[in-house]
Amino acid sequence: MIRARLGDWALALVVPLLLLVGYDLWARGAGDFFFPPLSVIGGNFADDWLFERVPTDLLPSLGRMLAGYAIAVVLGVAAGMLLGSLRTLATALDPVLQFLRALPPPALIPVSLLVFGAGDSAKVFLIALGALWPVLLNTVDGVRGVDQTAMDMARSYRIPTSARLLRVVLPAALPRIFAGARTALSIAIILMVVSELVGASNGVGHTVQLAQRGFNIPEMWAGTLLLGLVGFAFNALFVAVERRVLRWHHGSTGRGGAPTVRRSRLRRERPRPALTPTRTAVVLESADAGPATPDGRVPDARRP
Amino acid sequence: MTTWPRIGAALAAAALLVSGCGSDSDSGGSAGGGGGDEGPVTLRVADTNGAPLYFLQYGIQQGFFEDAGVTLEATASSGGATVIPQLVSGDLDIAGSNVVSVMIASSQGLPLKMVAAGTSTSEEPEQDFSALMVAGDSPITDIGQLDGQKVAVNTLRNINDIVLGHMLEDAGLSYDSVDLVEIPFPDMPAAIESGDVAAGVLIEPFITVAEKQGMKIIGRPYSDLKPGLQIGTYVMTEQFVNENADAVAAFQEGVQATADAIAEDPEAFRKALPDLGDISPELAEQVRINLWKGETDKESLQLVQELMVEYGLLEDEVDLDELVVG
Repeated sequence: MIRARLGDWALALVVPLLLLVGYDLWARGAGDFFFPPLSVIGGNFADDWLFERVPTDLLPSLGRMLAGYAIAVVLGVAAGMLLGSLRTLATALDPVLQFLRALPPPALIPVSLLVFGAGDSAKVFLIALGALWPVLLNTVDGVRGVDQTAMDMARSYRIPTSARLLRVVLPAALPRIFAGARTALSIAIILMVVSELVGASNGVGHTVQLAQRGFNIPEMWAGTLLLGLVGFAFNALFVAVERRVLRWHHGSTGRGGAPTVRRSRLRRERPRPALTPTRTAVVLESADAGPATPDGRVPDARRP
Repeated sequence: MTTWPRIGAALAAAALLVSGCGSDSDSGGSAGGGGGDEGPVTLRVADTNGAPLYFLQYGIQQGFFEDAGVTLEATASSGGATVIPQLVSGDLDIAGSNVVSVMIASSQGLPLKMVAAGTSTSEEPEQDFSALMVAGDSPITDIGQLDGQKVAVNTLRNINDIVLGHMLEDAGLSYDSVDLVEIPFPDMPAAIESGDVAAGVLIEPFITVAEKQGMKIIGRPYSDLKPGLQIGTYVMTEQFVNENADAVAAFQEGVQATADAIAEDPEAFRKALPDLGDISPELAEQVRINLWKGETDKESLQLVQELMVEYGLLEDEVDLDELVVG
């Protein structure tokens, strides 16, 4: 097992390394002002980002990005639960939501500059606005997709609405929410950079732009490289969190696709009937995202 | 209410692209009678949208470039550093940029030559096309009162914050005694008015627009460094200059002729502005007209360069005798 995994790691490193070496060889030969050799870019990367500019530029960037992303996720999930549960409201708001979703956030930069000024809030607003829609729409879809039988069951046992939302609806919608949140994360990182191109006084995107304007091309590439690494790291982190939180889901369905709550419940009902005195408890437990069945777990390669 | 001037500016910019093509073909037609029968060389030039571009279009419209033996294809750019890569890659023959960007690019090893002067500010401080402005109800009357406050510039690490730094030092403060914030010119009046920044360095035509909104001018950053300070410059690559001496000379001749014509009769240029840039006749009557010198003013360059070294934009001075060829 471990040896196979190491092999995978090595294999995954081959192409990036080949690309880097290929670029370096080409750049050394070409001597193009705008495409400096890798060693020069690497030197600049070490000078700037290990770790001189981390507190002055990287952390403010990440702070704004995470703030905007957090607002988008919280707002998106909350509003999505509401709209997913109340079909009339969703129908009424649909045109407005579709319109707002279609607005490209960068087009709102002038507006946000006017409303929020040139400070952090304009940038956080832009990031939150762009990242909101995938979370919101996926949550709505996820909530609508909750198995009707489970809902009826919860109702007939008079489970309070708050518990029903938290323990039945939310866990069932979670796979879709995570799918939306992952899309939103990459959007948030893009908008982090875009929002720093106008009216910023710090940040990685701002640094890249200043370097470009100052014809400090290696520094520009070093910043670009950092942005790529940041995006890569955040995605990896997200996947790790998702894998942990949705372990029950991947384990029960055997694939990373659409949520199939029904099957998961049936499966889990069987192995421990003695531990579950009432059917209510079964529903609650199985819908919970917490301690899940470790059995039948599928290797990660199947994830999309 | 405040959005109207901005929409107007956007329309003007859009119309500029259209009218740019229009006046180009017009002059092509008149040049046939003018005397470019042997098929003058065509040079592609991009210059900063606004006054710098109007200058070239005026020269084209008046036939100065045709007379000198060169056909110009002038397009609008956002100026500064953005045009240099286009120049180096060969998409442009001439780039209209500013002296700060070109000196930085040159110091980083790009083979550039300044062939002619772009815009300069007026010798009369009153007619300076830059201004440090505050809100109409602001208690600030002097740059010395800005210590520790936010000041807007359109681009950090360029000509506007350099001249501002010089003003601050004159007032007994230092370059970093104010918090510089980057805000595009069109958004600046609103940012100043709302108190988001205490002051901003603006250029025409935004100054005229801001004055109409009741904002006040408390300083003239360009003239303060030197009346007639040269801001713009026309650059070519070293290779192009070496291989096309005739075309370079013809371009310089056309620039000089246009510069002389505007200096002699600024009102004629003012009258032509609505045609060149599609800016409204009322605005054209009020805007401050830049100065064009034709030949590069090394004294301006030297002053700017010293500040650039002082503020850390340049590590070492560049050799101006190497960089400037006209």
